[in-house]
Order: sequence, then C-alpha cells, then structure tokens
Amino acid sequence: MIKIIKTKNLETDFLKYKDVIIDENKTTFIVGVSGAGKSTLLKIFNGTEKFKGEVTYKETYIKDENYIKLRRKIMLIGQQCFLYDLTIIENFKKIYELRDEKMISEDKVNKYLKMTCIEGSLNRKCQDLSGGERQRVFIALMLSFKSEVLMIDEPTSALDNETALKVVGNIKKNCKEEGITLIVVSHDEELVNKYADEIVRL
Amino acid sequence: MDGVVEISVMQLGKVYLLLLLVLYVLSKAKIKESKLLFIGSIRMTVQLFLAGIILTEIFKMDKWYFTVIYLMVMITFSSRRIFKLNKYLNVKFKIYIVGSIGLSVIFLIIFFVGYVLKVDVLNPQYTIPISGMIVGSTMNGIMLGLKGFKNTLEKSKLEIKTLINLGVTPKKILKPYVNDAIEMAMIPTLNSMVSIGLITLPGMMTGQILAGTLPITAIMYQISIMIMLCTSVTISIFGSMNLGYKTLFNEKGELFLFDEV
Repeated sequence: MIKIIKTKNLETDFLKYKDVIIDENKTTFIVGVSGAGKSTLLKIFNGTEKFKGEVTYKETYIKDENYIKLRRKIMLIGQQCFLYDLTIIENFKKIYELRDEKMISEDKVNKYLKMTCIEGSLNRKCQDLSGGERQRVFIALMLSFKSEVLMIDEPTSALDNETALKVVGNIKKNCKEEGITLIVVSHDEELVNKYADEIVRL
Repeated sequence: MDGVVEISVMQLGKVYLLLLLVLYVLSKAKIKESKLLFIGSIRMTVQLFLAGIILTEIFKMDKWYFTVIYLMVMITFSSRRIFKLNKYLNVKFKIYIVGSIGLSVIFLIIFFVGYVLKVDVLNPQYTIPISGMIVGSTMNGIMLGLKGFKNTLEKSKLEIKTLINLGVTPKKILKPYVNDAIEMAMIPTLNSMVSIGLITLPGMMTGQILAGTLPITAIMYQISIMIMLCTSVTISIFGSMNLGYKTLFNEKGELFLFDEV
C-alpha cells in the first residue's frame, strides 16, 4: 500500500497533531471532536493553512510544491460551497475557463450530476437551488476535475440522511474507479461505518 | 470686467460664521463630528494660508527647484493620506501607488504646460496650481478605488476561498476585483464631467472669473483641467492596481490578502 500523504510533528498555532498517514486509493475518514482540527488538517494538505512540521505528498514536501499545482492534485471541498449566480452548465463553463481547461461534454456533466443525485435541466439557475442541491452541484463540479486526491469537509451537512448515504456511496465508487484517494471529514457515524476503509481519529 | 474685490480678514471672519450653522445641524442631528469640523476648519485655514505664503514666495523667487520641491511635497502628503485610510497596503504596493501618481502628474504637466501651452514646465505659476488640482483628484480617486477593492474582496471571501481550492491562479482570482476598483475610482470623475457647468461651477473657473479672466478663457482652462483630471485618475489607478495587486501573491501561488480576508 502506497502512503500518499504523511505528516510528522505537525502543528499549527493552536494545535498539535499526531502523525497521520493516508493510503492511496482508499477512502479515509477523519473523525474527532469539534476543535480537534479536522478541517484545518484538510487545509494544511492543500496548502491553504500555515503549519510547522513535515507534510509530504508522494514523498515530496508540500512546502516545496507549487501550490496551484498542489491544489489541483489535492482538491478540497469546503463546508461552504460557492457557485456563481448562473445556470448549472454556465457554472461548469466558468470554472473550467478560470482553470484554463477545456470544458467537458454535457453528457459528462450529467454523469457527475447524477452521481450527486442532481436530476433535471442543466439550465436551472443555481441561485434557485436549495442549499443541499447547490452543495451537490458543487461536489459534482469538483469530481469532474479528476484530481488525485479529493477531500470533502462534512459532505452531508446540508443533506438528509438518505441522500447523504447515496451521494457519499456514489462518490466513493467513482473515486475507486478513477483511482482517486478520498478523504472525508464527517460527524456522521453511519457514514463512517458504512464507507470508511481507514479511520483517522484526531 | 472689474478686478476682484479683495477680501479683508474681517470679511473672511464673517464667512466663518457659517460654520456655526453647520455646528448647529451637527448637534441637532446628533452627529458626533463636531471635532472633525473643528479640526478641519483649523487645518484648512492654516494649510491654505501657509500655501498662500509659500506660493507668494515661490512666485517671487521664480526658481525651478522650488516647483519641483512643491510637487514632491504634494505627492508625499496625498500618498500619506491614501495610506492612512488604507492600512492594509504592503510596502511594494505603496511604492507602486506613489510611482503611479508621480509619473502621471509629471506626464500631464509636461503635456499640458510644456506641449500645449508652450510654457516652461517648471514655471511655478502654471505648474503648481495645475498639478495641485491633478494630485488632489487623483488622490481621491485612488482612495475610493483602494477602499472599494478591499470591501469587495471582503465580501467575496467564500468565492475567493473556493477558487483557491479549485487551483485557480491568484492572478485570475484577483483580476476582476482589480478592474472593479479601477471603475470605482473613475466613476466620480466621469460623473463630474457630466454635471459640470450645469449643476456645478468648478472652483478654479469661479476663481478665474472672479479674478477678471474672460469666462471663455476660464472655460477652456477648465475643460483642459477636467480632461487632465480624468486622465490622471485613470493612469494612476490603472498603474497602482495592476502593479499593486501582484504584490498580494507569489510565484508559488500563495495569496497574501489582508488579515481579515
């Protein structure tokens, strides 16, 4: 098993972490009480939070990486998501353009939306969607970039139980197929028990 | 046309009485800015009298280097005022702002005084009042632009964080905000061009007419000044923002916005 992310003597201004190892192509859940630093750990991994100590990604110190490239390899879906006041398809186009990437086909967009249980027209305005739907559109968008690692902070915060289980199940299946390492921060015991390959307790 | 009626100190004193009216309104409306009014009135008086005394001396001596020094002092003071109201700026950003203002003022003075009027560009009688007006308006424009820049960034935290997580380059993330700031800086100047002459009679023109200049000459000066103000605000804010925003991130893709963002 390849250890894709490793930390050593990791600390921030407020927290000291035990050493953490993330296995490649596995689904790792990070659990712990509030304030244990779960979200901060994800931010450290994609280079958006300052830290002391060592963090390596595929044996390279992330401090030595170009952060733009790093964030495209290790993508973070935060607790709050942002979509432009445009239609679903326009949001995809806009973000692809911002990343200087060629837009994917509508079929592919639909494929990813289906994974996150979004049905219906691509021309619906995102500002008219519910909080849960927006979150799922955003997750679909992030999935479509096929990063090497996908980190999701509380994927189910805006979802009902049933949808949450279904969506996380689909995300995990997709990540397995595409060879994406999945890291999830969640409070939801049921979710953890059902989908975790590995569990990191902070 | 008659020459201007000289205002005596006594007469000026009467004008100050108007401030009592302002003070009355402030207290009635419970606006706690009477201190600002007081400081403002005193500073305005002292600063303008000082400027008057210094200008009289500079005109009398007619030395080129006094013009240069006066220009530098004006740019320094206006820059300090910009920095005081925009504390988030880093040193490099500040240098770009001073540089942009300085270069645009120098360019416009050379263009208007030297090329259009064909007068010696270091002639204090032309260069000092004209550059004074340009620096003042440019300062206001840049202050508005920078303030707007920070405000919109703060309002767009979630968007910015999301785009960072998406691996979008800082340049692409910040560019729309830079352009917005340029627009915000320019709008008042453009608006004043719309209303001028109809709703407002500008101070410089009024002064010239009072001093006995033919209105048509005063108007032609005023038009030139307005176009210069517009140009100066545009060049300065464009330069400041486009150079300055690049100090907010590095090659590695780290973004150093302000603490609050």
